[in-house]
Amino acid sequence: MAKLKIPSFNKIVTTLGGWVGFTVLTVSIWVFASAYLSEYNNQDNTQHNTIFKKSSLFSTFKQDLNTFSETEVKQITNELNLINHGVFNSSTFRVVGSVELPRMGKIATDLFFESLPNELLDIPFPKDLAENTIPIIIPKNYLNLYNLGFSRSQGLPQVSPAIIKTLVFNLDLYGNNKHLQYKGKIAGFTTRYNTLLIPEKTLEILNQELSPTKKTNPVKIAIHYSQNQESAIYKTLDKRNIEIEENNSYFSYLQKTGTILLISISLLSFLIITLSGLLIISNMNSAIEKESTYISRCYEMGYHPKQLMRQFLRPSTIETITIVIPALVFSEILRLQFLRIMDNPWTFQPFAIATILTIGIGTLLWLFQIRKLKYELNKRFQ
Amino acid sequence: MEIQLSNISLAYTGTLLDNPTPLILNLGKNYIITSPSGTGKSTLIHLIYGLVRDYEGDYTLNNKETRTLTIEEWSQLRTSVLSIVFQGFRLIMESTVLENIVLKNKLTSHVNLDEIEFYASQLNIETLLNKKVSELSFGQQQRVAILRSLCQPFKWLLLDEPFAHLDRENMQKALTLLTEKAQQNGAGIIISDTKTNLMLSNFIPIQLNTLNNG
Repeated sequence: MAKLKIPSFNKIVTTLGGWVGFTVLTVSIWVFASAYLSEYNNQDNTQHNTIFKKSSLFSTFKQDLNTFSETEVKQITNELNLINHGVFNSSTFRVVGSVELPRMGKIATDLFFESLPNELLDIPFPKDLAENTIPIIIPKNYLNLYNLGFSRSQGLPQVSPAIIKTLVFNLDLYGNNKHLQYKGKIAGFTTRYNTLLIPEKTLEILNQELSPTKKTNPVKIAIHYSQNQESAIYKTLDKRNIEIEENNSYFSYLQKTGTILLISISLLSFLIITLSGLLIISNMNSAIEKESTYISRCYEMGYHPKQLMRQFLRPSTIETITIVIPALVFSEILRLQFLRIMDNPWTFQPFAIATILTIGIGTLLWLFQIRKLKYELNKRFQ
Repeated sequence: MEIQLSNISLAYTGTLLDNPTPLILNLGKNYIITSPSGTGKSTLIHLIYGLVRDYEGDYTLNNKETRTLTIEEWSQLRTSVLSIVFQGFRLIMESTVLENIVLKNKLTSHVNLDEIEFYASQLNIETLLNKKVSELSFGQQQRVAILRSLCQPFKWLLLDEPFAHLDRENMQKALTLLTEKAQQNGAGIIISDTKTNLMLSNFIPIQLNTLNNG
């Protein structure tokens, strides 16, 4: 049988378009599936948040106005109808964290620790650490802030959550005319609180050791409540001039923007796939047109349209495979890059879904080609 | 596998056969359609082969009305029952002689390479097998078309002016090969020829309606 020649330029444009379209589509489906699965597995309908007193001119001069007394804590938490609550204890000594980096030297910064009862944490502290090592839970935002902002501006490498967890750094604690040296290790990343958390008992011991005379009332209370209580809680807090941390609304804004962006990108990828599908079909049609005499000769000889169809379908099938398989490989590479900078618990399942759907769309495109080819050939022999 | 034709007419050629009683063509017999140019000989051959389907009248093959046959059924008939040599040869010009033959033979694997070479030598084209068809003369192309028609099982061999470009010697050789193969298959031959040829005098004539001008 004759070999069908599709012009190289058409082939290149179709393949490149297909690669872009299918890669973007696979990644979009993957991100959607990740988001959906995360949401699906987080349906306990409760909310964790942090409350604190609103700042005022007076509180700037008199810091005690910002703190909660024991009685206040009791009153407020009773009023709010909470599932659980706990006050943030804070470190009352100086903390300096430092780390030696190759080619960068020593980087040191002042830190500030807080603690909460364990039952309010989303990440447990490890129990098997060495005695002189303090586990620290850091906000997930900090990692993102570093990876997406600081590291880029300073030309530093991006780090994955897994790498960060292996990092051991020095902690120098000063107070009460003492200098204690500890090692610090990241225990995990919290999405609930925007502070550095260490175990409650550790903080209590260190405060006792390094600032025994300094007693402070808490400035923040962690609250755990049912989502259907939310509006009532907001009203009560407002009346009492207490603020609730608004980081969730910022994330919800980001989430909405991200979703709109993702939908737009997905639609664009569909458009690209449709165009490259049309190009494959157009290539197929021009091949049929070009081999018109050959087709007629074969038909007159006794070849039936199905046999001819197989011959014409081969190049477009190869082209479809050449598009879909590399696109899946590109998506996997992108996924691995993404996982290096983001801690996503849904790593494989969404990608499997995305792969299956992409192969499904590729198959649909191929079936459409068969249908179109069948139509074109039958039209000639009716 | 007899062929029955009656009252065959087409919009663009007029009436080809004006016979209320069906014309019955039997297997094992050889027929010749002799009538002047433009009276529809090729059209009738094409009609029997299933390429002309917009006709009036009745055409049955093996007692089956051919109008109801599907494209696939016609393809099946063209690979096992009906073989043809077209007047215009209808070869693939940019392919070699052997590629043309193999393309046909692929459908049924009816003959092997030795047989192809044997038929080619019978037709004096054994040296042309690897040449492109476009490089051959009309006479050589005609013999390639004849060879191709033998590369399938058949019950009817339809020959549309098959010797128009052949000299007497090559015509004799081709006719001998075709009639021998038809006899071996128990097949019939339908040939159209404008020239009354003495070599075809034992063929049964089919008279077309000559009132048409084509």
